[in-house]
Amino acid sequence: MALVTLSEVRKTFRRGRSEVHAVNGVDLHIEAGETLALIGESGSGKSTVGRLALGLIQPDEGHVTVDGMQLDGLDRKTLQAARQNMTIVFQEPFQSLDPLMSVGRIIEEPLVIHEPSLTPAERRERVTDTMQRVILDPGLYERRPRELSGGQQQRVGVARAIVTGPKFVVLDEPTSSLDLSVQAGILELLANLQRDLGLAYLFISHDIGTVDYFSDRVAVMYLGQVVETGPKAAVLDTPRHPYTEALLSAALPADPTEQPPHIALTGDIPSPTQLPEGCFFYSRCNYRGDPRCATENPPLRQVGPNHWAATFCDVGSTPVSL
Amino acid sequence: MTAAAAPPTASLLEVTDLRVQFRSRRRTVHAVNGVSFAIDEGETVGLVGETGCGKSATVRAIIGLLKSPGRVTAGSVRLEGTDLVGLHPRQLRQIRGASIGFVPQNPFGALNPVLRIERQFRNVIRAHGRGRRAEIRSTALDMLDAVGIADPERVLRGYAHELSGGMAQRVVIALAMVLNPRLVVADEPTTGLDLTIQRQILDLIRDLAETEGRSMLLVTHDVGVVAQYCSRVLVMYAGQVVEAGPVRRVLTEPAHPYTEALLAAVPRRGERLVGAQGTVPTLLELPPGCFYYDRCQYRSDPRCATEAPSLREVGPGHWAAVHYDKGAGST
Repeated sequence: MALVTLSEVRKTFRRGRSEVHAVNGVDLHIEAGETLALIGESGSGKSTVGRLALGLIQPDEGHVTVDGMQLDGLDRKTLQAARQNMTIVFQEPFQSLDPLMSVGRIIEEPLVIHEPSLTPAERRERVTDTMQRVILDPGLYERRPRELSGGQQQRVGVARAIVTGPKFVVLDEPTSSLDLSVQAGILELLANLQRDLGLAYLFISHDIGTVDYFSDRVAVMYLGQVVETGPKAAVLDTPRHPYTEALLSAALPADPTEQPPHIALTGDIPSPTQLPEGCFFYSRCNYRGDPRCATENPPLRQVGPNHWAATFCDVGSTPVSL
Repeated sequence: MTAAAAPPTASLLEVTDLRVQFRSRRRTVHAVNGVSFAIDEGETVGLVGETGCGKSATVRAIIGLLKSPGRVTAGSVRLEGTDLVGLHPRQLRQIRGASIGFVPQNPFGALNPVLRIERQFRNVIRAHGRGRRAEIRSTALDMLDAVGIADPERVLRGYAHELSGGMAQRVVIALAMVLNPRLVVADEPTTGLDLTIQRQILDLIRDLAETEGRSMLLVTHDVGVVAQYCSRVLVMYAGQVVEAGPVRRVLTEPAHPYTEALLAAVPRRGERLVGAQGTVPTLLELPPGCFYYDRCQYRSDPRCATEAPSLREVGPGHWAAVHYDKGAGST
């Protein structure tokens, strides 16, 4: 059984008088030691899925299971105990660290909560070990976050996430605010930690290059649904959902001799307050043609080994003119 | 030097030995340390580098919008022969907008939140001449249409906060282009926007520049943006241009070790990523030798530690500030 499973998960937020349908029937699973990348644009629901997977918010429908424990419906105390097993690394390292606390205290805090039996000396040792593991000079223990570089701050974020020995970590755009050369170091660290500790990652990202480098499998989200999922090479090299194809074609290769064609989309992503009838991608699809497109929401169907796409259309067939 | 004494040049923009410092009572940050480059008519030049490399300070010095306490301490910025450094703010305002269109990173910072979009077009156009309300309105509608806004009437009546990030950036681009400037300066114009929107905005800026034969200076930290949208690139490090040349050449055969390191940090499937070694100089005190000395894996020339290398031509139109030939082994 997979370490992390989301089945038929739905989540709606109330905003004033309207309802925002953020997650609309998502099935995902992540195996121990593997990285599942979640890609999609603003408002696609990928961050909400990350929070659902950690039990930070509860689904309206469906179930979330991590390491054999079903998170939805748990009482607060049991849920908090379960959180020792799963953590998150945030996008903005500085904003996610308490500016008044020392680096050591920040990393130590999860231990105070989850392993109250540890003595202060034992905690200090665990913190120092963890700092070394994330290649952070233990001499920085008493420093405040603002005295650190962006890369060091994110290493503190990673140390805090792994200090309790979790099995599952959500990485919510962990390098998108960092410079390239700093990002390289953080990605290398995360890859090493995964290898050494057998961590499972849900890697939320909008950067196709980083996803290609870093993940094993990819899930593509659009308007709160997973529209395509499969092994990295299958999804990125031979996308089968029209949205995946368009999204990937918008990436800008760093190699100037590579100039893949850009498939432009028209219009905007529909409002999550009023979900469309039929396929959610209908209004922008270059391939729509099947009579069901306008009336039925296509379920994921298998299009290759472990490769699934939620579409009635065939990418690569003749696009219709809009 | 006066404008009349300037040598005849084909370049639209010529930046020579530009220096910018941020001076406070306690310290001085040497943000830009002798930057020289030129942009020809119709050319799109990328300015790439990481946080703190001085690319934004360079651009803000060019358009005369350096934030206090930053100031230009030396050098010149010639646009069509006229030195913009030291011009009266009123004269600069005339040049900005009319001759240089500026597209900043955050469109909401560039739009006035309490004025209708139509009023903002009127302000820009009237700052540079007269115009009847109806004429301005029709110009603005055309411009909004040209930047791909589906319902220009409604946008013109509305306010900035009613726009999405991508739409707001389109409006800013329309405002930047409305006076038909010869040079467009865009400072990270798509950072923070979604991938598909980024692509649309960059295509739009390029198309608007190309159709009118405008020149463009595109500042970015994204190597992909340079690779796909620029013909020439300037690589900045520690307030200096360390490498400059045709994009195809610089990104495939970098001559400066910093450029090489930057490219090695771009994630690619199945390749090992190499992070940065060492640290960037603080720019509070400039090092005596090469600014990249601490991090350089090729340093070997005795001059590296003592003498700052200047740009020298290493290939056709390809310049790098290094003392040695990277390919030639150790000196």
